[in-house]
Amino acid sequence: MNDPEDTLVDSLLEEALGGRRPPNLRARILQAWAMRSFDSGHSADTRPQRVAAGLPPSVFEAPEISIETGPSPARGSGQGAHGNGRESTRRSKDRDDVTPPVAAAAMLPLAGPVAASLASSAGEAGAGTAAASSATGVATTGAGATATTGATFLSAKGLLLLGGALVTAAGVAGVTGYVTHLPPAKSAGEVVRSGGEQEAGGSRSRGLAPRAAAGASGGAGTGSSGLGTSGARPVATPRQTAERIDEAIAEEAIAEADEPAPEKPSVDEPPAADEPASEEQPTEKPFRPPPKLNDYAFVRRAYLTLVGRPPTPEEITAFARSEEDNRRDTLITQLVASPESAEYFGLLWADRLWREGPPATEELRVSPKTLVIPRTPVTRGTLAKDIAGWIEKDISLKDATATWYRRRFNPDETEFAAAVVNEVWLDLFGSRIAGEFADPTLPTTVTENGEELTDAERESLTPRQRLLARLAHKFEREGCRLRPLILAIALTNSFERQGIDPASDVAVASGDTADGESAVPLGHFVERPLSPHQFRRTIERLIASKEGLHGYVQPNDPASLKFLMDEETLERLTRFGGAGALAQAVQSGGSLPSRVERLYLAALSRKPSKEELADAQRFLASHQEDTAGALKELWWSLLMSPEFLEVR
Amino acid sequence: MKGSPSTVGFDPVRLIESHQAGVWRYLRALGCDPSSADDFTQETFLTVLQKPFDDYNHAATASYLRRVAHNLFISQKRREGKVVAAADVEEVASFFESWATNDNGEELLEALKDCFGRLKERAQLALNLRFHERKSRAEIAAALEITEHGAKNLMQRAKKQLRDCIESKTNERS
Repeated sequence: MNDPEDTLVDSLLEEALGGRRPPNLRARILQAWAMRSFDSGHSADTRPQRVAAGLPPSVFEAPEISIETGPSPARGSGQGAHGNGRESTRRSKDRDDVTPPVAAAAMLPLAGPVAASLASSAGEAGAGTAAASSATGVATTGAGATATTGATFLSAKGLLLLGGALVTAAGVAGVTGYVTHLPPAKSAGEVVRSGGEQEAGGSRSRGLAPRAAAGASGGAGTGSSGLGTSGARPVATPRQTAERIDEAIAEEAIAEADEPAPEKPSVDEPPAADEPASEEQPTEKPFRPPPKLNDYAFVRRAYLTLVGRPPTPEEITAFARSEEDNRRDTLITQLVASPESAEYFGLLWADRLWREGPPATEELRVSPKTLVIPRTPVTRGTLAKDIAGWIEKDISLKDATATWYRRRFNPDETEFAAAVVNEVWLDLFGSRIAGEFADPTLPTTVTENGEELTDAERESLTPRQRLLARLAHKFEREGCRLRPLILAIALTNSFERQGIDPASDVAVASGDTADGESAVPLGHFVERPLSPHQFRRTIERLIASKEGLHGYVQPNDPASLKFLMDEETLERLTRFGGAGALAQAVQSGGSLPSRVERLYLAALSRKPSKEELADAQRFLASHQEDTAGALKELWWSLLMSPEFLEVR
Repeated sequence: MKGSPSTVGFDPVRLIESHQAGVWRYLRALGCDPSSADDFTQETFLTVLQKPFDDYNHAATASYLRRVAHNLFISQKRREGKVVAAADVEEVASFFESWATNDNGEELLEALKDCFGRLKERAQLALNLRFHERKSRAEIAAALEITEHGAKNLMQRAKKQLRDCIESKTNERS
């Protein structure tokens, strides 16, 4: 396109007029550096400054993962937080996806996710208890507690009087449907700040901006524990945080590099200006991080992971047509901001919290004299809606009404933030950063009261723990809000890269390492079967019926999953009429290739390859007497393919 | 700049942040497309990070990095069997030695903008259509109501004027 005669002027014009600014390659270079060190087995002798205490202090020894005290030299030159390096370095290497054989042998397509759920629930049997009876007990106890809380008064108009300050009950607890009786020890100012924080969250329920402004104005209350935003320090954007995460992943790779020392690098000094480039220059190809997903695979992963369903053909087409430089970032941001995402993560968190059934009375106590009383019986469904509301309205999990959530998740709450980060990481990448459920194995001083690590404590942490600690600290400092955390992790470059299949990786399949850390390399996306929630939402999207499916997925209860594979569901999934994916393809009236393409987009979120299209056309040509039936056969075979049944 | 095994004060992150824009711009000026510039920039830093050196000052380090990038670029072109005009490369290198000592080429960019403002309106429009709106030559010709050949000549003349303008500014600096 450009005039080859003057690349200098062309490049300057492209930057000055076309906006093609230098990208921020810092995270990419550091990660490549780490991976190369890992691959070539650099010893400590060749990189002592990195081995001793991780990478340089400016990045890896900083107590915060989120702080940006000022523009870096590179950023000062005009790079935005959303450096276009992410886009410009994108590779579109197609995966060798399994091609579903046309008219493959009949098997239940639901076997994957259901089997996975059965396996995961094996150790969780007996978790469920009767919600209604427990809720009754809670209400009774709660009434007693109200009577003994002298300084707290709930008026008939729903106003909470606290030391002369009026706060609406809805402002404190309305989102979750709870009435909160705060203890007298809490000052009115603290309560007012808490309400203000919720108002701030509610007013920008779709927004994802950092809370720096609210913190500076005192809107992001810290609560009695001193947690939350300080308001004095700038808060990193999710994109900046994502870059820090990528850098920390690079640190992990460095720490794991323990092979023998390599040969001396061939280039350590600049050659003389008149010296021609010699063959002694590095001959290896530029390092490539693990390939990034192509656009189709990326869109599928983003939708399945962030909203729990695959994209529709229209959504895929819209993304493919977008000419925006940062369209991947934009898609992720939009998905995380959507109510659909809040609903999906609400389901995931309800499952976690419901492991032990409804809350016991003591779990509702926020002080010796005060309980948080549910307005309605707590069920898994109401819990999921509650949490979805919290995510949707960007409300802090440090709110008093979330007390029992926190205790259920981390009984003494000392590692609550780290445990939350760990689980969000699991939701997105398929493995935790460190430790186990509700047990991130961090020193309690890491997150308690937002304290920062001492040097000695930091030295004692593994790189994984350090990343976890920093993310936890950031999460806590920014008000324990789930949505920004999800966004920051989803925006990492690592989330865009091709995943690993634990079944084909011996080291990964063997489970955790001896020191208790996951065998899955940090930052690698684990390919896995669709979860029951994902599978249900996928089927509902494919049948495209307002009615949805009649049943509620409870991963801990295999019996609750039967509706996913009953005759009615399968019939709806392969119905010719209505608005379902198959019906749309059959009724579209387009050419056969276009119908085949539509089925592929609906089932696998991608177009068929030339070979697949040729196979499909041959199959359809051999069934000209019943094209609709042949399309149904093809559709069925797609639904049985591993590619459909997994998130990759 | 002489490389040194010393690691005192060596900060890879600061090195990358301080110089990546300058290296990238230099590679783009040599003729790399953006994606290749990304790759070569990365490889440049990986090369120098293999053995840390003393970062005496920004200009010296920037020059060192450009030289490494230059060699990587030339080596790659040779492996690909492509001919690179040495004079053009050295000219670009000379420009950067003059303009990109401390600001990664920002001043050079400003010079280009200044020179662009001196072009005739019609030339500015053609370049804007080309580089900002990414129009094809045919579309530019249609917009200016001239032939495609005329559009090509117009843009080539405009770019030559820009080059001359920058060179005169370079001479003024030196």
